[in-house]
Amino acid sequence: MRILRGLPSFPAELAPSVTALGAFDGIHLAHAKILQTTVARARALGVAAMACTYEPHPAAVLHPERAPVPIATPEENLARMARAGLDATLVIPFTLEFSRIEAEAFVTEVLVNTVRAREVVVGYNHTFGRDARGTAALLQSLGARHGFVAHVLPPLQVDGQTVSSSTIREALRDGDPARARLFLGHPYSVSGPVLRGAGRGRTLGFPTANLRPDRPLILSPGVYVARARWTGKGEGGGGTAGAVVNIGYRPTFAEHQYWVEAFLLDFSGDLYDRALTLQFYDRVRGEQKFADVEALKRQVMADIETARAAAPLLPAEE
Amino acid sequence: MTAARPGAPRSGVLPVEKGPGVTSFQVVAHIRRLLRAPKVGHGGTLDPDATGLLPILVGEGTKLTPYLGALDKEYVARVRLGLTSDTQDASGKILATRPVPPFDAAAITAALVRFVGEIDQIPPMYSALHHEGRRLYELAREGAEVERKPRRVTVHAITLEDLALPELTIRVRCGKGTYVRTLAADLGEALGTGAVLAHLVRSRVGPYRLEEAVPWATLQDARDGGALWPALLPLDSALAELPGLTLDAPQTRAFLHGQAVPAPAGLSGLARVYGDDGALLGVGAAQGGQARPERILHADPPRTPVLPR
Repeated sequence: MRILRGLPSFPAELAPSVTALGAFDGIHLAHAKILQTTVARARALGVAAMACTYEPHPAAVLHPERAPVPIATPEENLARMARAGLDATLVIPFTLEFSRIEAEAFVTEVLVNTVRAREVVVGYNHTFGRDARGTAALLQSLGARHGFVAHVLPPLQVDGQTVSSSTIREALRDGDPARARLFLGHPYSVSGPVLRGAGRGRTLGFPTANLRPDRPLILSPGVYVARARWTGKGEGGGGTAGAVVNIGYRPTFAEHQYWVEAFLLDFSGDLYDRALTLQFYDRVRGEQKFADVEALKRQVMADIETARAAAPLLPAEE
Repeated sequence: MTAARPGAPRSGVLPVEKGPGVTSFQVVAHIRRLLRAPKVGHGGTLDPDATGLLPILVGEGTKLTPYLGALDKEYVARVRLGLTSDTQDASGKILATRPVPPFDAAAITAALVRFVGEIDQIPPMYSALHHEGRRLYELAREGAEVERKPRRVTVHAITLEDLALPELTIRVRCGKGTYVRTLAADLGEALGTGAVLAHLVRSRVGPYRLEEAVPWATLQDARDGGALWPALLPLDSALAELPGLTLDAPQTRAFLHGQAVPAPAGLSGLARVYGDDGALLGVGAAQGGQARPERILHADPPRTPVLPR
């Protein structure tokens, strides 16, 4: 998939296209549906399958004080969009100036003149242009004027709830990564370099990899079953292992610091400075404060056993 | 004015449950005997192995066949992963077996949502569709396979009801022409295991629900129409999704004679048309301030007691 940043960088030979429009954070099942429809329509018409998205997330520019925490990083989103089979994604730098473009002008500039959309695919609640005046209905009527078809996908229901970024964030805040995965279609994950911590895990008898997450965490503090993946050159190379991950403020040691530490099952080695990705599957327990180190050790042993029982059941590849 | 003659057979829709191992047509024949009604049909075939709701059309109701076919339907389907068969169901010839990985609900759900919305289905060779004047299943039985054009169908929703690998149960709400067998087989391909339809129950056709249908046991035990007549629903129950239009006496006469009648300017598409005495006259096609008769029904007049003759 080609990634094109900014309208001027769009090569004319990619047009015409079928284009999906959206902020696409997390690439959940409803996003996947939009992309799947886009690719299918593009193949049927024999034109390029495109997505048009923004960076940063429009909400982070328009009202940063109440912008939702992103579910995934832009890189991860683009990687998933590539896997959906798109030929190209146009990433529009979202600025206050861009946000003041009227919806009609957006359609003319971006959809008609740049990507030359034969068909446009959006979710039912997608809005674009100044003051979010560009609704699905407006897109359809502008489509009739400019000669493109606008496909507006209805809400997608899974397990009695509409799949949306907010329902996923809600599940994560409830400490329920399994429910988040049900809506995402893949596990919620965080990545980051493995730091040299205080080495306290090791002195307790449980060496852990301390991660500096690449994104603000949504998952509430607690202990989780995860799969760890790491990449690396040379000795050991990349790998994967089941993991017990503690997310928390570490109240026991009175260090009020948000921290992600992973104990990798059946793994011994040095992961310092490597990039580690943790994919969250299930919750073991909530955050807990222990009376003494012995009580903490006993609980960690029990957590590891819980995770060990769950790890072989983790789906192979997502 | 209505055209129902005294002593004419009662008309309506009779939702019944079809049991396993009988064809939809056998159920129709059985009910025709019980009701001693000359015109009995059904609103959408269920395969012999499938069970569940079969709306039976009685008398003038037989004219509603195309409208029933167009109604949304809901099925509960048990799907067996890891097998493929020539008919796409479990009673067919097994063509291949594949191992089934330990999928969980999230993995299955992610695959299921691919089939929600407007999707293209290649109809199965074992289907009643025609190819150059012959039924596809006739060709399939001779061992022939012909190219079929994909058909666009609408799947409104799929929910995962139960997961007990290698089987899973889904509830599918879909529009006209959807093959659930094909949906099962395509789901199997999406999961990389293949799949066959192990069991199919139709739980709903438009407004008719299996829970409210005449139970299969009742139907099997019935010796006459006594248990069936009270369950007969009025003809317009099949048209409940269409807007209603009531005519005055001269318009009623005109409509019954095949003439267009005035309709509200905003009304377009099909409408239920009622006469001045409240009887259903038929289905009209409204456009540009007029409603043209599309199907005239000589329905029972209102308050007709529905009893055995």
